[in-house]
Amino acid sequence: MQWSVLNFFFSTALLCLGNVLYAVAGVNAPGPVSLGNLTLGDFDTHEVVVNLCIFSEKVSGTYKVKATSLHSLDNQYRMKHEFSNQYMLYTLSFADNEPGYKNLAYDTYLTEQTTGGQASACEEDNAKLKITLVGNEVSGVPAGGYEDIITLMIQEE
Amino acid sequence: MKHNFTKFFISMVTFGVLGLSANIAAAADEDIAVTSTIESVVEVSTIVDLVFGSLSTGAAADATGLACLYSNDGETGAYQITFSSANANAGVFRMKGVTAETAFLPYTLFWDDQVGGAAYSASLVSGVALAAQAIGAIPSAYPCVVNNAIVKANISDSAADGLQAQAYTDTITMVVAAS
Repeated sequence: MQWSVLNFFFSTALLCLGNVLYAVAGVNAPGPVSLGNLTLGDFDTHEVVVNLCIFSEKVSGTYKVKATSLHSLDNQYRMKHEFSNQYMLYTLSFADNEPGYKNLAYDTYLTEQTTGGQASACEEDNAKLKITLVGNEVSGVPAGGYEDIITLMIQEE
Repeated sequence: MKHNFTKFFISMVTFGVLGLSANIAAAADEDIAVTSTIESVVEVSTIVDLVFGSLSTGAAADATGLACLYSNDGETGAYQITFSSANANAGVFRMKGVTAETAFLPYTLFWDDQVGGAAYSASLVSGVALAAQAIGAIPSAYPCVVNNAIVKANISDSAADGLQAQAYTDTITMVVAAS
């Protein structure tokens, strides 16, 4: 009986440890990114691209990704004005190591993304997150600074 | 019997933990701060000429014109506005005679930002800013397309006394800026 109990705890501990060692995944991103100064009358879209390094020790290197943001409302990404409750909407799109961006809908996993084989040592960027602000979002809101915090979630598939 | 049952139970629990562990995929979160800055804009897109038409000596007259302003200063589109007369004298707005250029017809100017209903300002002084004006809400379109202010000029009933009959004109320079 005592041996069985010990066996149980040992087995459980080893299984958990094995799982942690095996399933390592992560994402490295730079610091804050900026869309810069936005000028009224420029109705082109404003974009900024964040280069990411996503790694996984899983052999296939496949993962899914989703994003949420601090100031979102009704499943829309928003940047908040520094002094008031005024917001600008923006969109996100994501590209893994294959060419082409896909829309990253709010809090919705984009599946079947691949790292291109990068393991825990992230040597080069292998994904991009594009933040897009359409020009007409710039009118109708106060001048000044806007910010948001995007949380990017990566999970192995 | 009891001992075997315990071993069986422990084995099943262990198996359950194994199955659970195998289904937990690794995950990672990363926060990315995104910022931008909208530059300040305060400008007039439209204003119409103020036309009095023909005047009769001894009769007062008004002329009004609508204006369209865009301001993204603060949440209310605040601004200050300054009118300057090309023929001003000591802050008084004046029209100059087209034929006899030494003759001047004084007038007063008023501004209504239309916030809180129609209410004209006190008479303006040429070259002096009228502060604390606002659109009320920042226009959703840029440049401004919906008129949101009124300028009014007034010629008093005694202003034309002693002046010769002719056309009088003035050019007003209007400057808007963040408040």
